[in-house]
Amino acid sequence: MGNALQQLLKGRGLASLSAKEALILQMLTGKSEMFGLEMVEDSAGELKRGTVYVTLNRMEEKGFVESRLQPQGAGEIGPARRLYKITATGATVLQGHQNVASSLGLAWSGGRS
Amino acid sequence: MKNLGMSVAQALGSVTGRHLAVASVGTGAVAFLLDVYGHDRISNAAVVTAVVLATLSMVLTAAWNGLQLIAATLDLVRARRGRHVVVRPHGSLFLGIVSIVFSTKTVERVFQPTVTDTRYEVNDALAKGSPKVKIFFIRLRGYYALAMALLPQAVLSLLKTALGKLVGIR
Repeated sequence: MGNALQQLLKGRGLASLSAKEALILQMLTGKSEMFGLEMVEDSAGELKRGTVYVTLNRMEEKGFVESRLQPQGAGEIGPARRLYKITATGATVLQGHQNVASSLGLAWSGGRS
Repeated sequence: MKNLGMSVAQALGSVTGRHLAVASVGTGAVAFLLDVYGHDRISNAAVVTAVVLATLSMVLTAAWNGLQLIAATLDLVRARRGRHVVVRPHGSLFLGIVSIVFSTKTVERVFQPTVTDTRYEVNDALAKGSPKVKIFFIRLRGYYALAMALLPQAVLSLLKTALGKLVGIR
């Protein structure tokens, strides 16, 4: 998805969606819940482990995803894993962007360059 | 072993050592008085007794301290074997430091998951019996990820602070 499309979407009042955000939303659409490292491994180098949680934090603030802490087993120490899932808003935004891209005849890359 | 050591130490050192020291001082005083009143032979015997008692007192006190040291060492060895170890989770020091600088939300949503991922990876590698070198590289990758997470947050934080100050001035 190019910059021209991003500008067009912004002009129409649609929530902006970066390439990485689109990729994460697309991955989350296929699965019920995922954690950050899982996304990094599935993205084939598109997402970096150092920045994935920064992106997820931003997406959570926008309301595209929601998270919960994975329950820990007895004897486990340290912070629990955070699981993410797509929200209705996230799914709508992704669908909207895919629709706009297809109506304009642009190939939807799903954030993959 | 530790309790026995402590009991012996107390029996020998704490009680007897002090008694001997008191007895030594007492005998020394008696020797002095005997010397003053001209009972040289008895005085000399008392001096020797006082010196012996003082020496015994010192030896027993040293033994008591030594046994205490042994007991503490045994305690440490037991702790290292994992029976009384208080384990600090990996990354807790880092999280403690960043929580001073960044907001709780940023720590919970950005740094904590990164630390947790590394911890899980390390635990998986340990469970599989991976070589230490591999575990070292997993940790190294984790530290790099943390640095990469830290950098944008630090820049963002600085920008926010600078912007806040500019707006405040104007």
